[in-house]
This record gives sequence, C-alpha cells and structure tokens, in this order.
Amino acid sequence: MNNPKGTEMFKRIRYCMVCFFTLGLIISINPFLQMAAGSTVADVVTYREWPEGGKNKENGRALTAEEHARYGIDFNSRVDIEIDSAQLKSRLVDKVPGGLSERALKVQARIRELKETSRQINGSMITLKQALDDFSKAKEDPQLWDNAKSSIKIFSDQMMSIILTLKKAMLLRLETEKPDIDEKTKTGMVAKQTDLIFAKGTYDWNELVLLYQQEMTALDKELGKLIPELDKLQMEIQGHIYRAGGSQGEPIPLSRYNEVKLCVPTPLPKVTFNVPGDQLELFNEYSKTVQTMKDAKSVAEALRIQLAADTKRLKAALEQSFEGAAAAAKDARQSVEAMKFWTNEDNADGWADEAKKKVGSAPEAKKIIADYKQLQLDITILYKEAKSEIEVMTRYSEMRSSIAGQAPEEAMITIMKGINAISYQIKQPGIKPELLLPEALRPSTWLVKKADVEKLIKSIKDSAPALAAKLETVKFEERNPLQDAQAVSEAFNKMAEQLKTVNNEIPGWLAQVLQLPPAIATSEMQRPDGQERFSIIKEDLGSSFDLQTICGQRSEYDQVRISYKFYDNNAELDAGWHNDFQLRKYGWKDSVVAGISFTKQRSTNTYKPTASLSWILDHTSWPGTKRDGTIEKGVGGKNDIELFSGVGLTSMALDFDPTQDTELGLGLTLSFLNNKVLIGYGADLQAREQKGFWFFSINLFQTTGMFPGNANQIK
Amino acid sequence: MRILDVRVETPKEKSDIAKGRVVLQSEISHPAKTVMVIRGTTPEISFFADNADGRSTAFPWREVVWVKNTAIFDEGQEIMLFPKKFMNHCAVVLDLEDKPVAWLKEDSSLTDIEEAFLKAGGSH
Repeated sequence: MNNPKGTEMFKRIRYCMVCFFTLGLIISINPFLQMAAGSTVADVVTYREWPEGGKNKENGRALTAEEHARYGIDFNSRVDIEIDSAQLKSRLVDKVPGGLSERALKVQARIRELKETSRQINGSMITLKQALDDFSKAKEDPQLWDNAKSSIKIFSDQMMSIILTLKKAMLLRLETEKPDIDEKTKTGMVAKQTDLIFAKGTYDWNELVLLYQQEMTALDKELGKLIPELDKLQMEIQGHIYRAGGSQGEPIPLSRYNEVKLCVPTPLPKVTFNVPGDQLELFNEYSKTVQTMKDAKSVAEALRIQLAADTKRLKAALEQSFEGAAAAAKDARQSVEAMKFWTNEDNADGWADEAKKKVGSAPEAKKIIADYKQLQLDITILYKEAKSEIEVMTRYSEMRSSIAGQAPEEAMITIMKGINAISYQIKQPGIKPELLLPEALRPSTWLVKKADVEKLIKSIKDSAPALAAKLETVKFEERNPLQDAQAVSEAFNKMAEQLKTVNNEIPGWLAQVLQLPPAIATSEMQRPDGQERFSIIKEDLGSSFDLQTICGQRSEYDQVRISYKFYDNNAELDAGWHNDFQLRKYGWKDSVVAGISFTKQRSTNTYKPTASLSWILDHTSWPGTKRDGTIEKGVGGKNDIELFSGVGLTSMALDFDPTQDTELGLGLTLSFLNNKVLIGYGADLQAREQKGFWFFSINLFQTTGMFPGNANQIK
Repeated sequence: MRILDVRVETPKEKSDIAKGRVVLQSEISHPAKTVMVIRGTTPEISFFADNADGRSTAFPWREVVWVKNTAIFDEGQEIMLFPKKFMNHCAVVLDLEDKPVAWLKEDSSLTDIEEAFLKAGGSH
C-alpha cells in the first residue's frame, strides 16, 4: 500500500504549480485566442509601420487593424498592408449575393459553433482556476465544500462542451475527407490528436487552440469550395490624405492599387524653425488685439483678459454659425416633415393599392411596387435621422437668444454647456451623441443624404422606366412618395448650401469642446487615378504607402484614411471598412506658437499684455509596446497630452522703458500641456536698466495646435 | 493514485482487506471528489491506471483508487459499481455525489478518461 501522506504532499505541490501554470497561460495565450475567435478586421489586415527612429526602426511596428480605428504614425514612415486572404474570404461569406446553398449553410453553422465554443477556452482557464481556489479554501473550511463542488461542476461542464465540440468537428471532417473508413478507425484517429491535449498537467492549452484552429481552417476551405460566387468578389483599397483643417481627401499612392503620382521620397525635417501661416496670422491678430487691452493687476485678471480676447473672436464666429443653422433648419423642417406621411404603413399600403390599379399585377409591376414600398421604408429611416439632426440644429441656433447681452466669456460658458446638453438630450440610434451636432452642421452630411435619396430615386426609375413614369402620377391623399423624396433631396441640397456660410473653424471648435477627433466626410473622397480592383482569390492582396512619396506638403495631425471596398461585378457590397492614421512627429521636433503673453517686471505690480511668438523644442517618445504586451496606439497614447511639452524661446514687443521707441523681449520658455501654457523669464534687449521680466501665456481657446483627440472616440 | 492490494495467504490478508475497505470508503465519501475505481491487474490495466493517474494528479478533486484485489470490495459493492451491463469494464468513475456515472475499458484513450472525469465532475 502506498503512502497517502506523500501523495497528498505531492498533490499540493502539483496544485500550486497548476495555479501558476494556469495563470501564466491565461495571460500568454490571450492574444492567440483572439485570433482564433473569428474573422474580424484584425484577422484580415495587419499594418506594419517602418518608422525612421525609435525601438521599432529595425523590425517595424505592427498595428492590429480594428474597424474604423485610428492610429498615430510618424509623418516620415512607410506602412505595409498585409492581407490574409483566407480570413478575408471567411469575413465575406455572409455577403455573397443570392445567399448560400443548404450544404454551405451547414458548414457555416459548424464554423459558427466552433468559433463560439473556442471563445469559451479562455473562460475555462478562469473557471479552472476558480475551482482550484475554491477546493483549496474548502480544505481549510469544510463549510465551503458545496461551494467547491459548484465551481467544479461549472468548470467540468464548460470543458466537456469544449472537448465534445472539437471531437464532433474532427469526426465530421474525417467523414468528408475519408468517407470509406469505419467509425472505430475514425474515433481512433481523433483520439490520437486529442490525446495530445491531455498528455501532461491539466491541459495543453496551446494544443487545444491549435486543434480548434485546424478545424476552423479546414471548414473555411470547405466553405470556400462550396461558394464559387465568393471567388468572383473583388476588392479595392483606396488611400487618401486629409490635410489638417480641411475635409477634402486627396488620393495617395498605394502600391499595386492605383497610379497616383509618386513624388521623390522626401523625409521632412521635424526641427524647422518655420513659422506656420496660421500662427503668423494669429500673431498679427493678437498684435492688434493687445493695443486695446488694459494692463492686468493680477494673474487672475490677466487670465480673464486673455480669455475675453479669445472668446470675443470665437463668439462672433459662433453667432454667425447660429444664423446659418437657423436658416438651414427652417427650410428643411417642412420638407422633412412631409416625409412623415410615408412612415405610416397604412398610407404606404393605400398608395400601393392605388398603384396596382394603374399598372396591374404583372411580375414587373409587382416588383416596381415592391421597390416603391422599399423606398417608403428607406424614407422612414431617413426621416428619423434627419429629424434628430434638424432638431439638434434648431436647438443650437436657439442659443443665440440665450447669449444675447452676455459678455464673451459668459457666453462661451453658456454655449459650451448648451452644446453638451443638446448632444446628450437628442438621441439617434447608431450615432454617438457627441457627434450629432458637428455632423449636422457639416454641409457634407446633407450632401451625402441628398446623394442617398437620389440614388434610391434613380434605382427605381431605372428598374422599369415605362412603369415608373406611370407610377409618378399615382397619388394617395394627394401625395406621391417619389415626388416627396425629390422635394427632400432638394431641401438637403439647400441646407448644405446654407451651412457653407458657417465659419470653417466652428465644427473643429465644437469637436474640440466635445473632445472628438477631426471628422472625415467619405462623400468628399476623390477616386484615385488608375484605381485597381482585384479578385479576392489573388494570392497577394497586400499593399503599402510611403508618406515620404506623397506629393505636397504634409503636416502633423494630417490624417491618412485607408478604405477597403468590395464588389460583386460593379455593385458595391456592404462589407467595407476603413482605418485612419494620424500623422505625428515623434522624436525631436519644434513648434511655433502665437499667443498673448502677460509680462511683469519685479518693480511693477501689473501684467502688460503683448503679442508673442514662441519657438518650442520638444522630444516625443516613439510609441512602443505597453507593459501588457499590446502595441501602443500613438493617438490617445501616453504621449498624446504632454504635461511638460518642451523648452524654447519667446520673442515679444515690450514697452517697459519710456526712453526707448522699440523694445524687443527675448525669454527662455517652459511649455506645458501641448503648448497651451507657456511660462518664462526674459530680457528686454533695449532697456537700459531692469532688463529682466517674467511672462506667461495661456492659449486654451486656440483651435490651432489643439489636443490631438482621443483614440477611443472614433466614429 | 491509491493502490489497494492484499497480501494473500499471509497473516496480513484480513487486515489488508479491512484497511483497503476503509481507504476505498473514505475516498468515495469525500465531500467533493470524483473517484475512479479501477479493478484488475493485467498489464493493460496497469497501463490504463498510469493514464488515469496522469489525468487526476493535476486536479485535487480527482482521485484514482486502484483495487488490485477485488476481495477489498464490500459485499455487493462490486456489482453495484460494475453492473451487469459494464461487467467487462475495468474502471468506473463516481460523481461528486458518489454515484457511478462513467465506465471505461482498459483500451480507453486519454481523451476517454478525461471525458469520464469531466462527466463525473459536471452535471452529466
């Protein structure tokens, strides 16, 4: 008889090892399991940035694609785009026109079952650890045995489901691959593979995941063979750059996919001593403003004066935007309200009955009436969207009365509170509340809607031209859906025209108040020259773009959008997505900031305002790998908002010495919060005595050099 | 793994049987263990017992008791554990409520053994 004490001791040691082993696996296998979980955008596309510096210079920085994700990349980098064809096929299966055959649907169901069960693997590691912990606790406190039993049951059921699903998939695969062999042999073949999972310790989790992947890959292949239509689908990748401050996308060269002109590779210097045009303009504006400003008696007063100068400028632009929004909303309201008639099913059915009298019940007539009914459904969706956007614009325009008579600073606070309130009070499904107002104020939003309506009208007219002409005259309660849709299209166009009068700065400023990244309107994307489309069965579908070969000036905070589109013949499928990259300067860089500086000598009690121009030198660390092993995004990463933003020099005109006509001050400057706060000590170069002075400048309301935005708030 | 055997035709035969019964009963009546009881001594069973041990050691709630001499079973216990339907099987797994739920033959694979333990540990 063996020694029970020894066995117990051995089990305790093994138990501790199992705990550590399991914990380690939970951490290390996690990313692997994500890959096994399904064909997400991240499975299909991988980006690799080749930066000019930093730790990733040699091996590149892998960026995992997410739908609509935004990353920070250095503005001198090259980015490779790698496409996994098998995963792409798997992602597009649901988009095959005409649907799948019964056999293909069965295979698809098996893939889904495998994918769903594979997602439980991670959970089973956790339930195993819980069961081990609970068993250990119950050994110390016998009252806890029921708790331990409950945990063991949860784990065992979960693991059993994982094993049985895998075995079932393996047996079904063997039935297809080797239909001639008997059941016993098949079972033996399956056991030979699954036994590897149980060869040592608790489980070989890697082996388990690999076997799941093996089955999923086999099923993906089988499905591919069952869907020849899948091979007919085509893919194109488009690339556009959006220069900071504009929303017009310009095509960029994407290897293999287009023939956009390549320029001589030009690495742009990051330390340039260059004064950007917008800052020079701002400096001139501030130079005029300070002439009417009083000296401040305290830091608080100086802040208030600066705020007043910034807000005065913005208030005027905002008031103008209220006017534009009011006019646009007023015109559109009536046309959009007219659409409400068609959101009522009875009205739509009533019209369809009238239509049947006119065109009969031949198959072609039935189809076009069905198309009209579809138009009615689309109008209902459009009505709901447009209604909340017009309401948000109306509420926005009404703010002009609430700020009447208010000082600029007070008005700004009222407006900012109002914007937040509007954004969260009016809800529209499928759109983030904070995006509603900036979207509604953008002319392109309404142009896109106009294009959507016109596309619908055209498709109906084209489907059966003769019948469509007849139906245009069919009315129910004096209304015709096509005519109403046409009126709405015209109203949207008028709205876009009126909103073009809104100062361009306003949507950007609103986005800053609401902490949004710069928005990009997809309707304004120009089709790249020589754009190519490839069959998705092509071996290598990858591409790359080199920021250095893009013609024209590129600046920090410009955005590159890589869009993926899929086609069946020439019809675009609803399967595309895009990834955005924000151009950033990593490593050493300089920036020039215009502002109003308040200067103070030791002997005086007041702060004199003066327009200043600061040159700031800063080092931004290259994005790398976080402690948890994930890749740092760059945008929204640790360097996105820098508490300390660098050191530099500030120059400003001074008026300390009454004996001098012209005085120039030059000061050493410390910059904080992305150059929003500057503090320094300088010398009056012309003063005969008391040359030294302190100064500070706060530029919170400037929209230039704004905070780069939060990567989590992506539309 | 607990191995229970009897030194037959020696003065210790009776005490071995008695001790074996105590050990077997104590393992079965543990409040939260799934117990696999193996019977027999052929080389195949020995190989099977090693595999079963491998699938139990990492889980403190799994126990394997190898009853080499069936005299250790209480009267009627063996037929209760191995009913007529499973008379050709060498192992039975008892669930957390001490109820036999899975039976295995000596040629069972590691996967079969694991499934039997999971069945006994779960809600069947």
